[in-house]
Order: sequence, then structure tokens, then C-alpha cells
Amino acid sequence: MNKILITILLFTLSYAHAEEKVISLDEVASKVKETNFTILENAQRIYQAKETITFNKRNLLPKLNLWNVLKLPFDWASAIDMVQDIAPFLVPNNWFRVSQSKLFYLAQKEQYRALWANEVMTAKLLYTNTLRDQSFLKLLKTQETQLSELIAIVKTRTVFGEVPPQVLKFLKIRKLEIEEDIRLLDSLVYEEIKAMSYLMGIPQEIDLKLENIVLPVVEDLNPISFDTFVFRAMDNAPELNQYAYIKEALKYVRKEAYFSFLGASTTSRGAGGGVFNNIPLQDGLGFGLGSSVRITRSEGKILDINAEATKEVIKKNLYNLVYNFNSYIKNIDNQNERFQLAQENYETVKTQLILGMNVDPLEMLTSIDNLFDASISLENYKYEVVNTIEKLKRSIFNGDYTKKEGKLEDVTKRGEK
Amino acid sequence: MKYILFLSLVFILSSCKYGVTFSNLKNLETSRNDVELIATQELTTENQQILKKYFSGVKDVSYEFLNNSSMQNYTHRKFSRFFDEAICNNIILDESYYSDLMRKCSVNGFFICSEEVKLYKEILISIKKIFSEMEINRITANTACKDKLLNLGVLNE
Repeated sequence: MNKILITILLFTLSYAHAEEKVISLDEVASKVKETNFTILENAQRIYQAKETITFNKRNLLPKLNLWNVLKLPFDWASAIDMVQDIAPFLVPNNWFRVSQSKLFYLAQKEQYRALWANEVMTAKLLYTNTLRDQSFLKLLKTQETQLSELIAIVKTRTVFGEVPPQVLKFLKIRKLEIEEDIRLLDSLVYEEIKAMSYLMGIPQEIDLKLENIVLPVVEDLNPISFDTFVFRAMDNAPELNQYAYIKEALKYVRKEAYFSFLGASTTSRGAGGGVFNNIPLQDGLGFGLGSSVRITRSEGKILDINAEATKEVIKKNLYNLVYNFNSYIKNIDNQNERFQLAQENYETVKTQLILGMNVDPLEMLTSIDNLFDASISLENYKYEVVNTIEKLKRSIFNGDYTKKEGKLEDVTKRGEK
Repeated sequence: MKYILFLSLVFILSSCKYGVTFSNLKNLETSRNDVELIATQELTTENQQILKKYFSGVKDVSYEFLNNSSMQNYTHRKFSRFFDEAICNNIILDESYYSDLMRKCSVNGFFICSEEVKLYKEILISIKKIFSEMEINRITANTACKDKLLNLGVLNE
């Protein structure tokens, strides 16, 4: 009986232990990469793009199509049609499709990189925002305690007739409001933690706990300039690299148009290749060649326009981030002073109240509210700096976002072998 | 006669095929000089472009060599034509310049230069692997070149 009880106890304990998971901010990036649903789906698309290259390469080798062979004794002229089966490598467009699939694979990798970075940033920002809300929750609870102390004092003074009863009621109403705020914020934190679990692919049944982070000493940070960061932001943007690869692939589509007299290719361009589906290509040399070439040129211009628009978006975001970062640094002294004054004021009024001096309870309430507002503002400031640094890292692909562009990854990987 | 003409044509075509890559390899000399000229200057956007030109050039040439086995075979056959003792000094950046650049590229804990700058040594190690020991010995017959590669960590003692 004892053994059964011990087993049940151990099982319950181990089950309870497995239900909780503590995670740190440093682990978020790797967790998102390993188990985020969107990332996993996109990783499969890259795998498909890579396999398409192999497929297209092997498609250059002869293949057996029994129906075409059976046609041969009846129609010798059909032997010409069999070139796609016997010698597909003689069709230049098949080679161009191989080159295109390689470029689309690299473009797909860039797309994955952008998506991965966005998901990591979203998860990390959610992590810090959850910590910030947990911190706000603590401050709200402190405010509630302070108000409870005040209510206790005012209650006594009401009994002695020093304070009118409506003041006590007013304070109680305020306390109930704070209790409601606590409930709302608690629900928000709960939702944020559940959203974090989803982003990291952690089952919803597991109780996720977040480790605290060390907040930066904002006073020690130096202002930054847009000019220093813009190069890296542009240079590393996977969104721009993606356009470059697609534009390179477009050259092969033009070649396909020129060599269409040697047969059209039926092989796929690979994942993302659908972008060129609207470019008409003739199966053979015809009068449509000129139009095909002009459409490919126009497609190139569309890509240039999109790339230019993306550049401007990146610059706009970077300008805002740099401006915000510098403004936080500039105003941190104001925030510190505001908090210090509010704290001093609260302590003075509280001491006066304890000493039995005739302090207006509403003045005490104002000082509690002021202290709460200043604390929230300062805490929020520090977390906003953390978020801005994180967004800057995402913009210039530093820290957790450091990832090599397609060709660079290929070259350095070979060095590791 | 026809046979000779055909062979010459094949020879010319095979040389032209990799002409762009070899010409890019040669162009690295100019861009390396540009990098050394700006090594002591501020990292403005223009200077960052100069860095990018050289370091991506190294990456792109390496990518071409590593991904094209027939070009590798051609390079082994024509090694002495393209690679001599001077290649090192011409296209590879001195370690002292590289260290200075890496220092400048780190601002407020952020790395602000292109990723190729950070991974320069790794790229050189990768490309070294396509050469045979004999070929490496020929390149490093020049002491200055050997020291340069040793300092960069591309060669081991």
C-alpha cells in the first residue's frame, strides 16, 4: 500500500514539475527558431526550394516516358519530340530553370531570415512587455497597500469626527478601482504569457515563468547617430537581398525568352518562382519574343520600385528608432527627478499623518497617486529603452538577429567542414 | 587543321567561361588598396561602401570558386597563371588594418559594418581548402605572405 502511495506521490510531483517551465530572455531566440510554428513551416519551404534545385538538376538527365517510346514505331517524326526525354540537357531553358531555382532558393532563405527575425523580435518584445506589466502589477499592489494604510488611519479619524465620512467612502471607492485595475492587469499578464508560449511553440498546458532581466542604466548610454547605423541596416536587410536575388533570376527568364526556339522548359522555378508566372514565354520562336522581353524589363522595373520603397521604409523606421533612443537618454534625468520628488512628498505626508498632524487625507491620496504615476513612468522608460535597443538590433541584424546572407552562409559553412 | 581549330576554340571558350571570376579576383587588388587608404579615416557611409566592395568581392569570388568544381579543376591546371607569390600581398588585407577596422566597426556594443568584414578570416579559411598543399606552399613561399596568413589565422604554425 505504501509503495502505491509513494508511486502516486512521485507521479503527482513529477507531473506538477513538468507543468512548469522557466525561460530566460536569452533562450527566446533559440526557442523561437526551434519550435515557432510559422518558422517551422517556412523552414519546410526552404527545404522544398533546395530540393527543387536537385530536382531541376536531375531533370537534365535522360528520362523514360513509355508512351512517347510506343509512339515511335508509328510516327518516326515524333523522335524529335522526344528530345525532352532523351536529352533534356540540350534544351537551354532547362539549364536556365536550374539557375533560377538556385536563386529562388537563396531568395527564399532571405525571406525566412526576415520572418525569423520578426518572430524573434516579436517574442522578445512580448517577453519584456510581460515583465513590464508584471512590474506594473507589483506597483499597483504597493499602491493598494498604501491606500489600505491610509483608509485604516482615516477610519479612526472618522470615528473621532476629524474627517467627514464621505472622504472615507471616497478612499474606499478609489481602493476598489485599484483592485479592478489589478484584476485587469493580471488578466493581461496571463494572456501575454499564453501568447509567449504560442510564439515559442510551448504547449499551452505548461505554466511558463519568465526570468527577470537586468534593466540598462540609461544614464550610462551614449546618443547614437542615424548615419552610423544606416549602412548596416541597408546592407543586412534580407528584404533587399531578396529583391536582388529575384532580379538576378529575372535575367534567366529573359534568356528563356531568347532561347525558346530550342524548346520551352516545363520544370518549376522553385518556391517563390511564381512571381514570374505572369511573364508570357512562347514555346518556339515567334513574334511574341519582343513583348516577352519588354515584359521582363518591366518586371525588373517593378522589382526596382519595390526595393526602393523597402529602402525608404527601413530608413523611416531607423530614423524613428534613433530619435526615440536619443530622446530617452536625454530625458532620463527628468524621470529620475520626478520619481525622487514624488517619493519625498509621499514620505513627508505619511510621516505627518503618523505623527497625528492634521493632514488632509485627499492630499495624502494625491501623493500616493503621484508616486505611483512617477514609478510607472520610470519603469516604463527603462523597458522602452530595452525595447528600442532590441528594435535597433533587429534593424541592423546584431545580437540574436545576426545571420549570414545566402552566399556568405554558404562560403563560411564550407570552411567549417 | 580543323582539329587544331576546334581544340583552340574549346581552349578559348573554357578560359573565357571563368574570365569574369578571375577578373574579379584581380580587381580585389584595387579595392584592397582603397580599404588600406581609408583604414585610418572615420567610418562614413562612403567608407563603409569601400569596405563592402572589397569584403563582398572576396566573398563573391570565394563563392564562385567553391560552388564550381570545373572552375576549381581549371584553377588547378592553370594555377601558376593566376596565382603567384604576389597574390597574397595584392589581394589580402594586412592583419593590422583588419584589426583597426574591426575596432572601428564596434560602436556602443553594436557591430555597424557589413557581416563580410566580421567573417573575413572564416572566408579565407574556406577558400584555402580548395587548394592543394603544394599550391599553398607555392603561395606561401613568399615570407611576407606567409606571415600575413599566419597573423590572420588562415595558416597554422
